[in-house]
This record gives sequence, structure tokens and C-alpha cells, in this order.
Amino acid sequence: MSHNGRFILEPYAVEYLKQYQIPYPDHGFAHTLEEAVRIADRLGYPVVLKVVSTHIIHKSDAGGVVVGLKSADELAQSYQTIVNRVHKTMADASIEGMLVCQQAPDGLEAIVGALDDPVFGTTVMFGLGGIFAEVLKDVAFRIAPLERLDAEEMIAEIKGYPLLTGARGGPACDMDMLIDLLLAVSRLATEKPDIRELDLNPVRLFETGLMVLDVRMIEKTHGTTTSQNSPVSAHGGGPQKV
Amino acid sequence: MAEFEQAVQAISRIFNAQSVAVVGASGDPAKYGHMTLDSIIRGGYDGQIYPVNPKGGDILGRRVYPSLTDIPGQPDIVVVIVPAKFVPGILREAAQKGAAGAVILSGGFREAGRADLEEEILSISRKYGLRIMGPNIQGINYLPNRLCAMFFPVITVCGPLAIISQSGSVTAALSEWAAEEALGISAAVNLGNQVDLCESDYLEFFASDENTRSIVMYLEGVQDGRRFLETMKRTTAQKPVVILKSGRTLAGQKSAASHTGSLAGSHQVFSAACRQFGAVPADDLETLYDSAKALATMGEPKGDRILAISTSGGVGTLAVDEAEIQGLTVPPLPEACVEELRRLDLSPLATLSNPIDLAWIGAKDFQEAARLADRFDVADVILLTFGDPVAGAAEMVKELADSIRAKLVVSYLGGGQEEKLARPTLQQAGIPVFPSPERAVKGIAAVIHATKYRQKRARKLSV
Repeated sequence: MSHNGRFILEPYAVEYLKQYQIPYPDHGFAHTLEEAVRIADRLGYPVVLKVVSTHIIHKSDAGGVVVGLKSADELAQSYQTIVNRVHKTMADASIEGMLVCQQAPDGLEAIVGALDDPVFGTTVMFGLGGIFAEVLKDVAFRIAPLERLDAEEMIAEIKGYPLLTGARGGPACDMDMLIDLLLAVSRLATEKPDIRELDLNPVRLFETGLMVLDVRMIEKTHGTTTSQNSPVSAHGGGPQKV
Repeated sequence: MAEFEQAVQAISRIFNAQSVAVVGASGDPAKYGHMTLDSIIRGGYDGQIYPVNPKGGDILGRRVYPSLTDIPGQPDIVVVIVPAKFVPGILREAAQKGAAGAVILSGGFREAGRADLEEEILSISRKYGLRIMGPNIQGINYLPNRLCAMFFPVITVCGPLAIISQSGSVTAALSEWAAEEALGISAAVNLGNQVDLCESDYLEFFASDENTRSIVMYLEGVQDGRRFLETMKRTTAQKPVVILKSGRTLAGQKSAASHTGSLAGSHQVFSAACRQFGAVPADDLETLYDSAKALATMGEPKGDRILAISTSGGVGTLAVDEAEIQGLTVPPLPEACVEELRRLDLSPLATLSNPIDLAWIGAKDFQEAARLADRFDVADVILLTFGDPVAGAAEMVKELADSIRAKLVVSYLGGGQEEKLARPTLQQAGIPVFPSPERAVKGIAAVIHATKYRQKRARKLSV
């Protein structure tokens, strides 16, 4: 799948999140199995293992993510499984290493993103995760820079909003932190114009706090410009033959 | 002076021109050069008109000058309908004659692959300070100056709507609809190639134009997105803007690398931008027009509660159904209100809820029910839906509007001759009339959303 920019490896993308105080699980970037085990020991089980490769943007699709690893043995097994799966589905993929992350508790999932709209520039997106965004396209947009009111409104705009306030017996999410997250993403995308597109997906929401479980960032390649031309209609209204 | 302020001044000078040279005027009625001159005359323009054509002679009783240089006096503007290749020369002449602006109807520029010609007229514009509307447009119409420089239609019904449109036919359609029902327009601008003056400039102009109460836009793209948003923000603080954007854009490929990229359709982002900066996005042409009409006539309701009163159950229900789809509040009638309604001399078959179904086609029933509901502060907007011709409705409605707090809106369904007669009277009195309950409710929803936005902004600023 081609894209117009360089994909930033997750361990480096996470550095940007840190800069903007966007919560991401405690983790380590392992280059060997031994290193992975050491990291897992430090973090404490259960852990999540995620492949890091410049060729793999959609890790789950390539079989590159395993969750719920409860011991060093399970970790070792999954490490090898991931390597095998990746080589099977994407023979040419190089594996830079594995992210070992502390596993987050369950919670409602959301997706937060930013992109460079060709007309309006930096734009922030919000939606609930999984089928809500991907299948139902229940998402909201606002043009950056966002004010607090914009973040509040875009959250309330989605059809799935009642789930965030505790409908269907679930707990309400931490709305303040969710608003802060949208504002932080707005600042990040505005202040780092080299980042053309970013996805925080999923963002897991808790009653107190939230956690970004996965981040995808695409850097602009040199010479890529934002087009701001409006189309010229052949039928702008004027006479074609005078 | 800021660039946009200069643009606003330039637009004002062009619209208020006291003398117009029509370059490319033609004696052949089939030619645009003839139609345009004819429009200016029939539009009632009472400034100086100088038709220009190398053949000279006489067209429509006006002396034709062989060239711009030959005309006595100074044309404030030139209206140009000659083949594109002659336009640069015409503009230079116009600049020498001291014209301030050019309205170029001619096509054959960037849209026909002649970007070079367009570059040339832009540099002439910059060199001489000769501002340009167009090229490639059906024309412009500014009613306060009775300047209808448009090959068609000739619209002379003056009213509160300003039309800014990228499509000539849409400009014509919106103008005609407004004229047909005695609503009227303050101006109509077909944007065309926007080599110089662009949609943001016009938006800026109409924001402070005292003849305009609502601005309606049809866009296919935007020249400068960021500037457009800032202009929209400034404009919507002063008067309502409703926009329909069609799908054609030069947007780059949708990215498949991120979910965000693949979900961000340009249409969705545009609608979001409208909501964020206070414009009302419309989904289709009919709703665009209905919203603009409602925004130009209704003023600002105090809230989003709507009450429907109708001659028949079906019609009222359609209204209330649409209200719920639009996210408006459909309050039930308070018990005390129902009690008092029962004491009125209404039909025994009347249903006393929201909607109120009077089961009767008497204007008096409407009046009494509406007055009563208003005393109980049931709703912020009362929609009267006449499912059948109601005799004397127009007078009753006008009287009612003056005596209640809620905003009044009328919808007919099968109103026949009654509707035809009532419509202009009511519209002129500031009460919008719609041909169906759903269209009425969509118009009302636009007004309520625009009002909520403006109030929210005002609150933020005062904090």
C-alpha cells in the first residue's frame, strides 16, 4: 500500500507523544528476545508484544501483535510466532525489533487522528474505535488549532456519544482527559508540520485517565506541498463561445 | 489598509458604478453581447451605459462606440463579453480610461487551457489597480444600484438574500426562486475563475452590506482555505451564512496508511469547518435555498422548541417527525394549556398535543390555538401548516405574528391559489412560507443552529 510520506517507526512516534504529555503504556524497544524478556521483567506481566518494521503499518493484519503474555516462556513463543507470521505474510519485510508494552486494562476504545486537509490544512478527527469509525464512519472533524469548545463539540457530535457518558451500563469515560488529548493532538499536529498524518488507534478510555495503545505517524517527504488551489469549472458560468 | 479591506472597497466601487461600458455589445439577439446589454437596460440601471463594438451604430436605442477610447467621459467599470484573446487589450484600454473595475463574462481562460491569458489579465489588473470580477461568469447583479450585468436572468426584485455561487445556473436558479416568491435578493455574484476577486472577498463585502440579511453560497472549492475560515468566522458573527459545497475538488489521493486519512472525505471536513466557524452547511440545493430564506426572514428564536399546528394530522406529524430528525425539541403541551384549549370553540375532532391537529380549516382556530400556546410559552417557533387552503390565512398570520413572542413560520401543502396569493404578502412581512412541512422544518433548523452558534460565540467573548 503506497502512501505519500515516510512512516515513522512507533518507538520514535512515541517520543512525540511524550513531548505532548499524551499517555502511552510503559514500554521498551527490544532488538533481541533476551532484551524483550529483560524489559518484560522490568515492566511486570502481562505484557503486549508488537512488531516494529518500516514495512508494516497495519501490525495486526500482518500478525504482528500479541497481547496477554503472562510469562517469559509465553513471550519467547510469541516472539518467534510473530517473526514467522511476518515472514510468511510479508516475505520482504525487515524487522527492526519488537515493542514490549505494559498491558492496559479493558475500556471503551476511541480513535483520534490528525491529517493535512488539502483545503483547510491541519484537521483533527475523533471517533469511537473499531466498527464505529471503520464501518459506520461515525467520526467528527475540526480544523486545528482547536479550542476547548471545539473539542467538546466534536466529542458530542458523534452518534456514539452516549457510550462515553455511561449509557448501556458502562462507566463514563474521563471526559476532561479526552478533551485534553484532542487539544494535545491539535498542538502536536500544528507545531510539527512535518507530520502529515497521525492515528492514535486505539485510545483506551477509563473512568479515570486514558491510554494511547498504538500510534501511527506519517512524515511528509521532501517536496510534498499542500495543494490549496480551488478547481476551475469548465462551466463556471461564463460563455464558452463569445 | 488590509488587503481584504481594499477588496471590499473595490467590490463596492464596482457594484455602485455610475457608468458602465459594455464591451462586446452586439446587435444580434442570439449573442451574449446583446443579452447582457439588454439585461443592464431592463434591470433598470439609470447610470451611463456605453455599448462598445467596432461596428458602431445603434443597439437597443443606444449609440455604440467603436472602441473604449471613443467613449466620452470615464466608465467606472467595463463589462466585457469579447473572445478571451481580446480581453487583455480591452483591459489596458479600460485602465487608460480610468475604469476601476472589469466584470469579465468571457470564458476561454484557465478553464479552457489558457492559463497564460489568465496570467496576463491578472498582471494587467495588478499593474493598473483594475480589479476583476470573473472571468468566465454569467455575470453579477447588484440591486441597490439596479446593475444587472448578467446575460440572464434579469432580476429586479430587491430583498435580503446575497448569492455567491461558483455555478452560473445555480446563481440563476437561486435568484429566480427568490424573485418568484417576492423574497428578493440584494445581489447575485457568479464567481467563475476568480482570477482576482474571490469568494472570501465577496463574503467580506456582504458581511457589512446593509442591504443583505443572509448570505447563501454555492461552492465547488475554496481559493484559500485558511483565509476563508477566518472570513467566515468574522462574517457569521454579523449575519448568517449558509453553504452548499459540491464534491468536485482537487483533493489528493485519500491516504490508506492511516484510518484518519481514509475517513477524511473532503465533504465531511468542509461541513465540519462550516459548523466550527458558524456557517450552516446545506446538503442539497433546495435546503440551501430554504435555509437562506428562513435565515433572511425569521430573526433569532429564543430556543429550539417547536410547536406545529395544522389543519390535518398527517401534515402536522410530518413536521414533528422532521423536527426530531433535525435535533429540535418537540415539547408536549402542558396540561393546563390543553385544558384551556379544550375550552376554545375548536372542532371536537381536534387532537390537542404537539402537533395540534385542528381538524378544521378555519383561520380563527389557528389564531386562538397559537395565541394560547404562546401564553404558555410552549415553543420558540410555531409552525402553522395549512394542509388545505385556509381562507384569510395571510391576514390572520400577519396579525398573529405581531401579537406573539414565538417566531412564526408557515407551510402549505396543497395550498393551491391561496398559497400563491398568500406567499408574497407573508414573505414581505418577514414570515417565511414553505411548500411542505419538512422543508419548513429544515429551514427552521438552519436558523436555530445559526442562532445557537452566534450566541455561543457572543458568550465566549463576554467571558
